[in-house]
Amino acid sequence: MQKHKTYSFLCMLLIMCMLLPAKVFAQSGTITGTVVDETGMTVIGATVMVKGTNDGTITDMDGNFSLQGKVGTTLVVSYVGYATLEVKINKLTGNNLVLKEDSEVLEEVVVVGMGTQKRNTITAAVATVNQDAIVNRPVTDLTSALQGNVAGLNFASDASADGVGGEMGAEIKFNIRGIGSINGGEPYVLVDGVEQSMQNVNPADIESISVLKDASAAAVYGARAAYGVVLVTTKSGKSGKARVTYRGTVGFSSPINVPTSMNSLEFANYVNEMRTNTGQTALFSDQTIEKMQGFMNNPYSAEFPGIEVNQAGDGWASSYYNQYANTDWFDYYFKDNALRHSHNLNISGGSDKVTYYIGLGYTSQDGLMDHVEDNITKYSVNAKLQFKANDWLKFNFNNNMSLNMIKRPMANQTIFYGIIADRYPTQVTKLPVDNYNMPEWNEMLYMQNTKYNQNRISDALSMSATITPLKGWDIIGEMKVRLDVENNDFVMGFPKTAMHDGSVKTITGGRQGYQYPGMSWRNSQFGSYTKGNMFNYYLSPSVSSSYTNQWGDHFFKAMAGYQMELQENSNGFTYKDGMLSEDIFSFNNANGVLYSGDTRNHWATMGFFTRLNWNYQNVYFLEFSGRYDGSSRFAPGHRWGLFPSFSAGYDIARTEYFQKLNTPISQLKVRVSYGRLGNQNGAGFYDYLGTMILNSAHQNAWLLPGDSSGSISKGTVALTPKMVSPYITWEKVDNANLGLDLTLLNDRLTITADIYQRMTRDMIGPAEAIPSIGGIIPEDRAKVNNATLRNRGWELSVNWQDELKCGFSYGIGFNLFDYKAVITEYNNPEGIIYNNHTGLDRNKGYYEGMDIGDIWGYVADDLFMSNQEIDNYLKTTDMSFFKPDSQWQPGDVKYVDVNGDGKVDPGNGTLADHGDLRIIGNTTPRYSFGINLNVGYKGFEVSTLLQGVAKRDFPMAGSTYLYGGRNYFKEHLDHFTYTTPDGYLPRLTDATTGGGDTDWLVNTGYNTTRYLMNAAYMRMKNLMVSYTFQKNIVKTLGLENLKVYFTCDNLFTIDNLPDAFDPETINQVNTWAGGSNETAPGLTTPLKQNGNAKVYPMNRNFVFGIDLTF
Amino acid sequence: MKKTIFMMLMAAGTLATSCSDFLDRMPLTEPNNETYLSTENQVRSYINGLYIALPSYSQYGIGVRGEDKNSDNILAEKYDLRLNGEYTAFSGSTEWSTGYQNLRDVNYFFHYYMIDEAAENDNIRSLKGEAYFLRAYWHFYLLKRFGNIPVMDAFWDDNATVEGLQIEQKPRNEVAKFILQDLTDAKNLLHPRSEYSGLRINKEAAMVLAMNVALYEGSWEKYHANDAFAPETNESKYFFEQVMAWGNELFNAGIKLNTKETDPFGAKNTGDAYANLFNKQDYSKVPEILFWRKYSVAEGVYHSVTTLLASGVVDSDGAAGISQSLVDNYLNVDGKFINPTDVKFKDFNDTFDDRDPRLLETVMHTDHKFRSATVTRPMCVKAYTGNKDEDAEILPPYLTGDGNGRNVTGYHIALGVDTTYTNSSFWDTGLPIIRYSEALLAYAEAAEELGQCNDEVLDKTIKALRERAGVTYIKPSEMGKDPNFSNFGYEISANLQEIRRERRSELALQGFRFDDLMRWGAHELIVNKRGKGAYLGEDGVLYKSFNTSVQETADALKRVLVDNNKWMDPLQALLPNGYQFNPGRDYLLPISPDELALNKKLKQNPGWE
Repeated sequence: MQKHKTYSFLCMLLIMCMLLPAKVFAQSGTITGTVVDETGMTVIGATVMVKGTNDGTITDMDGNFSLQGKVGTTLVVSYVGYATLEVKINKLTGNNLVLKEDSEVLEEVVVVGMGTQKRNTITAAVATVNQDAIVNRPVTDLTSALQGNVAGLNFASDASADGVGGEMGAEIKFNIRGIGSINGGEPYVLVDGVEQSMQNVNPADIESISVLKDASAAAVYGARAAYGVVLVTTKSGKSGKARVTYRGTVGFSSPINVPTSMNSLEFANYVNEMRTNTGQTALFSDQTIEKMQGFMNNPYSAEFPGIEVNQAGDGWASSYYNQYANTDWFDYYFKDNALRHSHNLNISGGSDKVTYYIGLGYTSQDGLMDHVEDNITKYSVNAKLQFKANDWLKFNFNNNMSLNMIKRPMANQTIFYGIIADRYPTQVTKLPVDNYNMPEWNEMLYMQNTKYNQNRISDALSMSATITPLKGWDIIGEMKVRLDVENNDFVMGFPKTAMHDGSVKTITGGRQGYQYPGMSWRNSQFGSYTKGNMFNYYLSPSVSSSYTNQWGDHFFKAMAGYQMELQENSNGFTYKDGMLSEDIFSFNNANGVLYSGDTRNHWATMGFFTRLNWNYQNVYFLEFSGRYDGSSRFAPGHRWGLFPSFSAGYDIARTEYFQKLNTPISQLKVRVSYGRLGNQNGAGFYDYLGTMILNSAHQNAWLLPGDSSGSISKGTVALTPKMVSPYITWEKVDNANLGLDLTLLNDRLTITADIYQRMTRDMIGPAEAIPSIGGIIPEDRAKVNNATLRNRGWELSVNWQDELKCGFSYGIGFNLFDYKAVITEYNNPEGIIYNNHTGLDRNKGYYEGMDIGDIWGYVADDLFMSNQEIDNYLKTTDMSFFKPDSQWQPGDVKYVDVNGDGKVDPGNGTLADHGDLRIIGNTTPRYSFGINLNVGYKGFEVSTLLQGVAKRDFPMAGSTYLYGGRNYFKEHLDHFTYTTPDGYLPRLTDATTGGGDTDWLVNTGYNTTRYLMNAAYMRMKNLMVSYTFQKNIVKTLGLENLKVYFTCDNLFTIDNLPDAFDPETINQVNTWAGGSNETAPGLTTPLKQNGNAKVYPMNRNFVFGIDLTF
Repeated sequence: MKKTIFMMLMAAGTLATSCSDFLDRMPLTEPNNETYLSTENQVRSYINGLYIALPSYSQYGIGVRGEDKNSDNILAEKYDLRLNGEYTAFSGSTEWSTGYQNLRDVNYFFHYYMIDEAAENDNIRSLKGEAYFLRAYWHFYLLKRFGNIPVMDAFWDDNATVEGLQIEQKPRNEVAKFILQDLTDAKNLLHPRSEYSGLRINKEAAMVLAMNVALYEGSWEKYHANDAFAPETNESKYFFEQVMAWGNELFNAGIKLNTKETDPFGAKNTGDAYANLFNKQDYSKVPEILFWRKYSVAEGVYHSVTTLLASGVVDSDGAAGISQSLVDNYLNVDGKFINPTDVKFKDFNDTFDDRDPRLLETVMHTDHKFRSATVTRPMCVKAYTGNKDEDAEILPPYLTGDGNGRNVTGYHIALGVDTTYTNSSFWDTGLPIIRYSEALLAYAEAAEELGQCNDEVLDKTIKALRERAGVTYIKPSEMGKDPNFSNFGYEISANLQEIRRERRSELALQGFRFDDLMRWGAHELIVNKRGKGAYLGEDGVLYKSFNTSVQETADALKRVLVDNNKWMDPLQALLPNGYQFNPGRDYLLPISPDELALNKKLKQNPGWE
């Protein structure tokens, strides 16, 4: 203690000595100097202010500044990315002010719900992603840039809509901490405070992203935030001179994991073998097979055109087994690479009164489909303005507008993706004639005559006024508005194909898949035009007030507010066919049938929210937040819910005792939180009301006379309402989180760990069964809040970042997380096992104790190898559930009698009696991880992101992939035959023919351990090499910053899946091809076909980019 | 500044107080159900919605045209599970709930219908009559399947709980009476057929339905009088009398059968007068068709049945064919019995010679236009000669090959095939749903059951039908017993024999046969039997129509199953002992165990306990 005092005294003396000359010469006038960074580089555009005044200036191109002042003046120097420097001037000229990079992790300001907090004071589970992780990724969609960067963010774990795969403009689904409710519920995404899709945000404008994972973090968002919140913050202007940054990229995308088709010879033998196995005659004759060989040597030659005139002589031989071309349809339909480029320009700056940021973006990306128009163009403007009217009044204005333009042949292309996988390799792509030589079986013929354009403008704007009556007390009034306006059209021309005699056939009628969304394809004719529009608006006014103060060691902040939300959606379309000519598509140029339709709906919420923070010496933290919310989806009396949450933290490293220990630990904070949120998604918009459903285009309506017009028409039918659900209310989501933040070794190492439990109670589940004589179908019964889901998981993030003296820097970080969700309460008293591909009839729903994603199936690891083996096996084992004893053959799947009762069957399909069914796997991704590595030296930097899932199962059952779904991929050649008894897949059978379907079902229709795929993977999501030019070189070019980089996405993947499957789209089902999204939660227990590889391929992107600032 | 704060607080306060209104978000496109049914147009929209559930051709599938596979009229590889006694305790659950769901929809109408009696006009009353008809229709649907059922006479949503739905079954004859009462109400409210040309439910249609209901119940009670399915009180006589009472009233309406002379489509022969009832787009001008469904490709209301029939499909689920037994049911054109053992019937073509013209319109035969829309040739069964031109005409039944077009008996469906051959997958052949013929057949049968079937009755029923079809009418009493007629296991009079024969011929492939077998207690026709197809011996023309060389023919026909005498026997492997219909159980469907557990007042049907 004594020693300490002495030091202080000496210091004081020293300071006084230094100040002495200043005092003596007490000069005033112009202070000049230079601002440099730690490496000695001058800093351009730094703000230099005289403390306590509004006087200030900005450093010029050489880092110099000058302003009026005197010795002894305290200057405040600030610059983005650097710690603010306060320095007392002791000379008028030659001041060399050194800014230090703001690497103080713990002082980092983090965006949290309706405010910001310093990193070290946060007690909730909040993860952040900064712009560095996003800005140079070659993504057009911000969502994909989050993958692998945040612990607890799961991608592609729920079934995505209709097999869109890597399709451009497809929405990428993700969840925070796993499945939230059996009724769905997605994270609440706010961009600069306004709810909107991340697709509308230009990645170049991003400042930071916060992911709020637990209840206490999300509580202020209440009604909408039950399953986590993503807060995207875009860049804002800073006072100072105008800075202009340009980022440009150019590159290309190419498809990955495209299945490899059999060639026509392999295909012909395969089909012949399949038909022989099912008692049918071989389809491909020796002569045809011979011609295939000729075609392969000399394709589309006069001798081997691949196709001939049909027997009747009036057309082409359309049967695939009479054609003998050799077409790889994937290769035909998809490009090897597609061009993409983007340009972003932003300008920011301002004075002490006004700051501005304007970001302009343009992205153009070609799709992978060949021969047709397939592209997306995005324009965006992000404008942010802040005005400081006076000491107590501030205004904010943000406007984020984007225009997305998509062009493609069809609105919904899933049919097409299914068709590609179904095409026969023997079919020709062109006809041996000169005009219109695209044949009828080539989907391209139709795609080239149809065009779908979608233009969507999304505008999110917010305006706020902040009044500061007293220091620390703010009152904010805010209005948020979002508009989504879409205009789209769909043109169907008349496809024309040539006949063998050179005449041209115009194809009339329609074709499945070629229709405007929502219309029946059977009503969509070639020679038609459809125009559609959408207008959605969202309004949300709010008022809030906050008060912050520090009383001694006590920091205190209180915030309370009120918010309303209203959204109305409307869309409609008009269709007309009978186009008179194909040069102009318009309603006036058509004289055919007119169809139209529209939908409109709206909803509203309102809520009161509050948050109270207290901390003592930054050691003890307490936070309470809560929200009282009402939703229009519930009946009066059931509308309002109270959702409180509480969190606390204790930073041991800041205690006096701990600091004395002199450890390398700068933060050791334990966090705990508990809270409740509400979810309204289980309820429809109007479930509590009885409403008539009107349908003017009911597919099965009768043509009936009787209306006043005297016409006989379908008219509008009014349908009986469902049973009204008057009592439903909020689903309650109870979150508990225990976390640890550890920072040590001069902040170079940070570790964050969390464990949590999330109980979703009162989920809207199936109502209690009532007698069917009520006449109410089970789905239409009054809904009730009666199910519970428990989700437990953990997350770990570790980051190490260091820079050596020699200038070499490196970093390594990883995150790892896992969760498991269990149904703990569900109305299924009989304990019926719900799953597909088990041989059981009823297969939708849950049972108590069910792990989400469990796969029920049979143990069957082998195929029967010989008749003798079959005979012996059947002596002891009754397999008649599958097929009669006489029908078993070598190459069939050998099912194991695991319960030892002498027969293999699914029992009653209940938990009490499930026969030989076992839980053989689980489709939930387990142990997801992301790994970041980077090294840098003198402006060079190499970084990579690896992402993956360590454990995941996927059942291959269903016609999807095995057989019968008409997939003819190379890997299907690996099947059992007498000469290749080690083949992986069973003997060939076929779904479609008489008698053969039983064999096919037995071998491919059930979940088995043999065909349970290991869907774990690791993928290099990104690799980037960049070079940042030295400041002095850049300066000679008149620039402030210059960086060039090369970056690549999805470079390689390590997995165990058959070639046709991509681990990230495996769960996607092409419903047209027989898949279904109608699954017990998300993908996790697949019905019908499982992931069927009939999706738009994922991309690999190679991009060169340049960033420059001046 | 203080003022600003004050105003903002005021604003917040205003928002908060108006919150209840703000959260009331009524649907924007769906009207309120409480007030909806208050105008004629709204009532019509609602009733029109109820038509959707009525059985008719859907866009896919063969619909009613292939429904007879649940009887001895059609043999299918995907055979009917109920006929083979393979139903389980749950097999009735779908039909049970379908019936009640549709009843709920109808009762909803009665519950929310808000038009004052004073404001009702004829159209509105007729729509209300349609609702009564539909409630009768769905109760009849349930009665046929389950016998004693709870009668749903009101909208029960307000009491739709387990406790609220403890409702007991009514005895089947009371159910039938309830149905007849609804049909009486319907009859009194409905427009006659002429108002909407049979496109909507009408007075005459309601009367025919009533006759069918009464006939069903009357014969059920008679032929199940001594088995497990007997009603507690047997009122079969009452119901037969009801048939006649309704029939006598219907005769006053002056409906006529469609004959060669009156046929609006220009029938060239008597066969056309019958065939034209099934293969035309518009039946407005065919009074015999009392109620029918119109289709129109242009309006987007169409089906693929005609395409399926034209490609030889009998059962859209798999290979099938019309049974020899149905073919043998038809008389010779001279009104006399056939002798199925006659060697002539081994010849596929001779089988159709000099027969009831309805056979030729019901079953595909040589010269009947046939097969897919692209093969615009008629069927042609004849032996290969080696002459290329002649052989090119040959187009036999589709016995080989794959898919649901494959035939297993040699007999494809001709009924309803539109021979105009439009090259399209979608068709708008209209579907007759209720025909006057049904009334004639019901009347004759009820009269015979009551012992009142005199010549006068026979003349206006059986004779009229035979003459319309072009079959010489001989009094049944003069025809006597046919030794080859179906043996029901009990004696029937010559009159009843011919009434039942006529019923099977006239109503073939229209979905009546199964109901008839059930109400007649006709399990003798099913149990341990499986039906046969045409003769396929190597000496027969059918066999010879399959290829030039004997060896190739044998290969191609390898998969066609025949019995020892070379008659096609498609189900021999699937049903080695014939159908295993359980006469002590399968006459009624089981009430699902779920339902029994939930509604303690329900009693399970016999044999399913």
